[in-house]
Amino acid sequence: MNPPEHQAPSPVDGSPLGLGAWLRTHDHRHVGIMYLASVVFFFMVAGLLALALRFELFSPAADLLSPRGYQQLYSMHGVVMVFLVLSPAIVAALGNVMLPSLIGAARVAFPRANLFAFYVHTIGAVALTLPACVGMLEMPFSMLPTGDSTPVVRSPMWAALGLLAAAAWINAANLLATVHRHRAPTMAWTRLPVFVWSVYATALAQFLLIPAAGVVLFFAASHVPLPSDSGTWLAEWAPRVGGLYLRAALAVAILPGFGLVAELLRAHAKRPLFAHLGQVVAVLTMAWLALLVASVGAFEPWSTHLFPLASAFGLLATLPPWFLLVAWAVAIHRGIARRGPGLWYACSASLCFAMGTLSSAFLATLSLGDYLADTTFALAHQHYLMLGGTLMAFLGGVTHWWPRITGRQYREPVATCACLLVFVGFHLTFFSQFVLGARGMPRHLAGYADWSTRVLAAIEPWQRLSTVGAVLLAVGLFTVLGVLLHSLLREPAMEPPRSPS
Amino acid sequence: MMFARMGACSHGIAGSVPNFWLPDSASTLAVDIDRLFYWLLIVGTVACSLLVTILLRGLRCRRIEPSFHANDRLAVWMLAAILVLAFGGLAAAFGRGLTTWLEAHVPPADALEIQITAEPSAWRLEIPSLDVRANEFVVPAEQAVLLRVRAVGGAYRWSAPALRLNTVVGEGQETSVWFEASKPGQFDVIVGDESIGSHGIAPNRLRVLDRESFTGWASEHSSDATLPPVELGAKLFDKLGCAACHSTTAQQEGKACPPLGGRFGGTTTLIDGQSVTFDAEYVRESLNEPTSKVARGFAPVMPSFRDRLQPRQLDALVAYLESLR
Repeated sequence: MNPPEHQAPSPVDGSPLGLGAWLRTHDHRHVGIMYLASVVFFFMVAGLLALALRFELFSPAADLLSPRGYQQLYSMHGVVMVFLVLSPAIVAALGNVMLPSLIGAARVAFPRANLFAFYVHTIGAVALTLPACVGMLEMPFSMLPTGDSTPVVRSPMWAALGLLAAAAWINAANLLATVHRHRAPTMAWTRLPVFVWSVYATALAQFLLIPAAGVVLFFAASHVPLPSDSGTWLAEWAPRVGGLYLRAALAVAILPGFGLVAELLRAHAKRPLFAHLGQVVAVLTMAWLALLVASVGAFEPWSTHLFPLASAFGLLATLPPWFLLVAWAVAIHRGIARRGPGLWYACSASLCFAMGTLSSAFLATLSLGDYLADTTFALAHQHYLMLGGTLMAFLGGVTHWWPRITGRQYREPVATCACLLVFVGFHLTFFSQFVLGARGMPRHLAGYADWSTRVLAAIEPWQRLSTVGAVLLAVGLFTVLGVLLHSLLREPAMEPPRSPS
Repeated sequence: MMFARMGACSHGIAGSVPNFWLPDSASTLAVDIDRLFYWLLIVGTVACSLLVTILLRGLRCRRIEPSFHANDRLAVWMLAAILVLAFGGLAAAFGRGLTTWLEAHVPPADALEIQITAEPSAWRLEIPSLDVRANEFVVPAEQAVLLRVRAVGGAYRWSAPALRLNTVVGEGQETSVWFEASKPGQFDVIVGDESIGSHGIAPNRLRVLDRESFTGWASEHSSDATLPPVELGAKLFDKLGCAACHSTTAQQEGKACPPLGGRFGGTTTLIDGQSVTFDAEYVRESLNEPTSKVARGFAPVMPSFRDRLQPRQLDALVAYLESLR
């Protein structure tokens, strides 16, 4: 996607940069804007895929898509959303644009590596999505052990994920080094904003986890057999390591969302954030517990004795988020200095984080979790955390810092309306999934026409409501994009941007 | 089982809440799971409402802060109280979930074992102890059932929401789960084939039958159903333990009860001196009320088979005895 034509003028000569300068930039803010464009583009792609899924589920019969087509669509939706939107959105995009300013750094530690990481990320993104476009997709998105190993090995998906992981690792190393070496002299560790701490914790987790996963996969791949062989080490290990990486990526990906909500509230609250150190400790504990839960969960198939341990950790892991949520509520309760879309996004993200964390307790409880596993209840839980929490915080961050990044002021009433549309649409879509999941509706099912009439009467209305909500959510998201892009058509603001931090 | 009985006694709470969230509960496991669900739902709703209330109060407040807002100690206490409550609620959920899970993983000794074999082309149900083979899911009510699901040629997800059963079986693996259905009825079964993501070849209803209907269904579907009467009679003669007391030749052969070989069509003298014909009616009477017409010289010790035999099985025994010439 081409970067927008009108941009904040370069500090050197006051004229807009050309495409060549963009592609060779060492400025972390420009790299961040390129990441932002990539995230927005793939958000649209994966969102439209999800809309197609919801249209299929509007009616009980599998009429729009075949089961195989449905499976490929939700696989692509999941992979694109997690690796091309959720993972880079806050850490790479907003992290590059805003984080150095928040710690008082003039530049990141490795500017050229930063740009290189963006290129690797883009190549990985193309490698991930292009096979699907030309019909070469062959990836069942399942955590179950499958007997046939060759499709897993041969799929270009693994190469693409490897590239994306490498890009994330370089970016993580860059951010870690920046926070360690390039802070302003007066910015002590204990003074770092919660947002910076959350990005730091995420980067640390990625820094440690990606090489570990890479080493295991490398050794597994060196045993790649000839097509006639079967039952290899790779077949047994790749899904487990892939599952571990995926679960860890999901668990850690929501951390920056929490930090961003804290940052948005800090910008709007009258007084400094309540229990700052406590929030930092909570963020770090979340990172550690999330990795622990993901690790134990990935080894589940080997021992049922681990189930109670996984359950205990899962339930404990819901406590630090609650600490953060209550601390934020207290901060808001102490008074709001200014109102704006950033605040509305932060509040709705808080509520979604609360509901997502609570549903995590349902799923971590032992026999109840078995009943709700692989139902849409688990889907709703994930989406409340990923979409309702992290991505809504991301939208809030982009909206709130837009004037500072681009120098343009968007039309605030429209932006507030868009926030409301997204909020209502989101809850309509995904609260229905909670209800459906409790009633027994499984995930990954394209058609449900042959169920009994009584059960259909309990399921179908909520599926329809969910689809209507999805349309509303899509309208809201496009409105957000529209109002922000529309602001680029206006003249640059003559006075300093309105967002203070 | 004891816990299940306790659960069944106190299911009034879960049973009387209108079923917005969960399907009708149809097993003893459902009672425990429902209680966990509603506990977490109540705790969660209270917590979220508190959060929203605090948020909204802060968002709406435009006046100068009263002292409450500036009171940090109160805020710390509020935070601590909410966290302690959350921890308590979660600990209770964990404890209760753990006991339910442990109970669900240890089947009782008298559980009826039912094997389900899942293949891409067809699903088969077998009950080894009753020699039953069928293509539909049928289980008895108020009887512990140990379900073993084995997947051949693909991974499957099998769930029966009304009974709160939800298992995933990897390819070539077998999963066991035990449950006790609490009432007869017909419930949906949702089967997911992980490789193509659809179902359609598996039966999608689970029928729970009361004891009598289940015995009838089992006998219809047992491999006995295709046996000719004489062979079925011979098999039953063995299986029901008749051979322990009755010999099948004309001699008693050291057994305690009248020999049955070659008796059909002849006459028998009873204890009270009467004579009866050894015919089909006499055989049926002896099976249902063995102490009414006992042969002379023998004690009235034969047990009754009144409710244990289907009519077809009675006919088979008669045919068998007739064949013993």
